Amino acid sequence: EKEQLKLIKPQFETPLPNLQPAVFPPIFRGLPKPHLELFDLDEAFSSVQTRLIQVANKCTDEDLEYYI
Amino acid sequence: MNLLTESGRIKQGDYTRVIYTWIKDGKWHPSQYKEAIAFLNEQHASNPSSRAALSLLGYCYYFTQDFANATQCYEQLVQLYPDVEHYKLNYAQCLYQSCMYEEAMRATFQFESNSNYKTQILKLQAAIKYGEEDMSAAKTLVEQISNEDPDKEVNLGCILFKESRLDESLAKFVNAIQMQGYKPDLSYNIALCYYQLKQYPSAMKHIGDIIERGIREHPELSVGLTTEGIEVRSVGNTITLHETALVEAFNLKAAIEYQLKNYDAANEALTDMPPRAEEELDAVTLHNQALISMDNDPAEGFEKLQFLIQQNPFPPETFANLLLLYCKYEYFDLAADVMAENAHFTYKYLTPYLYEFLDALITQQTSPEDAYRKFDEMATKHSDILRKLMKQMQDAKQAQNDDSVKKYANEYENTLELYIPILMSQAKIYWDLEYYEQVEKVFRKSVEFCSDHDTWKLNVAHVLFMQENKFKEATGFYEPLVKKSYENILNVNAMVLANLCVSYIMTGQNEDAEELMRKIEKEEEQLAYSSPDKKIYHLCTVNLVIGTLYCSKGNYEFGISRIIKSLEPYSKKLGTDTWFYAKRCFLALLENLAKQMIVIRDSVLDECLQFLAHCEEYGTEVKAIIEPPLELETLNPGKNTVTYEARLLKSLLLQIMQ
Repeated sequence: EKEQLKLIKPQFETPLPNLQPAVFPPIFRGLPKPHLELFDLDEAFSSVQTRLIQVANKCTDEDLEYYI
Repeated sequence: MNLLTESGRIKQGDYTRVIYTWIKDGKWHPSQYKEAIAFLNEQHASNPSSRAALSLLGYCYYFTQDFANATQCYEQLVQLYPDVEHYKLNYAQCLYQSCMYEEAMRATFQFESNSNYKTQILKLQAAIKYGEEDMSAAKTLVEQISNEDPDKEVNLGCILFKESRLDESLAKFVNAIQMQGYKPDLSYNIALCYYQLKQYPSAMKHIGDIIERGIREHPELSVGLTTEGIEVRSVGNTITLHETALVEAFNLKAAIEYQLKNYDAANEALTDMPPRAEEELDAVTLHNQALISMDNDPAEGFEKLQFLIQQNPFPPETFANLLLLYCKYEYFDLAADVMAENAHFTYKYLTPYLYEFLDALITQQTSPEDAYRKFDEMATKHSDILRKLMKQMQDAKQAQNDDSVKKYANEYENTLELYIPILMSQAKIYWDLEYYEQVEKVFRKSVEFCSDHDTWKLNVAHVLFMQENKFKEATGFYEPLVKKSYENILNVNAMVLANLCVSYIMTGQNEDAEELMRKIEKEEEQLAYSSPDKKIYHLCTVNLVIGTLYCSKGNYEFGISRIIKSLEPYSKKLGTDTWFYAKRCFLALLENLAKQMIVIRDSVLDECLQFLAHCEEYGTEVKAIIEPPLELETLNPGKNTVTYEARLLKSLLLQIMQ
């Protein structure tokens, strides 16, 4: 473990092959995107909402388990 | 009751207006998409077959690039509405975007032969094959696109790029941009071709265009604000962001700066990018962040790269970079494990050169002889290529063919860059064994190729120096390296300056040594004036090396006084490395005193005690050993300080003095 004091050994340079940064591949064209469908959401969703409210109104304390 | 509160926020009768407004604004403010998604999810939960909820959810997920959730929405829509063709198309497209290429391809087969979406299906199939890197299949599909469709030209350009036919690819993209006018994606493709052709200024010009337009047309994307230190919220992964090609452009800019070794500029390109949360980052950005953070925070860099190679897909560069970095930090076992566990990756992602090189490096840990042989085979192969290129270069010069000269010169440069790591790794095997004459022999064989290479000159100088009888020759190699940066002498490696001083002293050129030291001292004083908090170790290293030289020759009184002097002022000079070299000399001194081989004056010993007391005082925050970045068991933090070790040395010295 112990050795005689010698000159300070400089660091021997061992360069590694260069690291390579990443780049995105060229951007491919013409892919279909979903288009925005138009719905009457007040109609589509209100029925659900109304139904829920109706169910909720019908419930009494005894129906709590069913309601949840 | 989240359900009632969220939906309850909107009045009945106002749903259509509010939701579509959110979706419209989402293009600029992704938080609006999130509002819409939260609301639609509630509707979907209470009515799982609601077409409106599923369709709009799919749309919002798609436009926030959450393709996994979008896929689920469209999958359900396809089941509920098998007659609606565009749901099938969207489903296939989402699978493609999630890189599930086989499933996506299967989904494109679900259309009637007279489908209205023939062209879109064709393009999607081509994209899938392109994603799978099956270029011949992609080409067959792209060629079926109508000639009037400008996408055909672009996609052929992409395929040519992947086939490394860069000039032809570039021509296609340039042609497309002439046909269509400016488009960010085309500008990016052109820049990428120039990057691969190593024509960086042309690439930078196109990147500049993309960024400039991005800033002008989309101020909401917060380009550059993070670099300026402004805290900005994530802009999210919207399709709008994707369409500006800004993320692509900034990564390419970072890549160019990295290749040019402008690491600060590379880092800036990454922080200039529109801000996103870490979990939102794409694999390319994450990879480049990891690479650039390696110098400051290797543990974090490793964590990112290790995370990435478990993803599918990851940037192809990741694998080689992780292995090389493991080797750089001497985690050869980890490198070997990763290679063994991912044999299929080694074929796919490593060039034969890299594979052989890494294999030899790893072999060195168990069998230096085998490693030496492997490096030697590689070196022989590369020197043959270099010799051949040199001949071709000469022939081209004689024929006065400038293009060929340039081409061969370029190839020669590239081959030399591959050769140097092989040569140095080979030489290092002897260096570690301290067979310096053998190292010198290895270098003598390579002089015909490397005599102008700085790393080669530096290592040759070191090898001559360590033989202790060739200081004159060492001076000849160190001197030009120092002279080259004489005006900015602190840019020269401190050890080079120190070894040159020693070489001067050993060859009786004491005046030259003194002059060099005065020059260093002067520059350090100037630097201390302009940046007073910066630690600078150059003169300190020179004194340590000279001090060690005298101690090793038995002149402890002079040597130790140099060491003591070298660390003044302690607040600036006491560092992990400088302490390491100082303590070596003290240990040697203590040993020789204990064995009663030397006698030292009491006044000098008192100085030593004082010196160690100073180190104790200033060393509480200085680590005695820098721990490697991936170590799990840390050293006792109290013992791993200069203070602890200085106190230990002081008590030993006191014992001997009694």
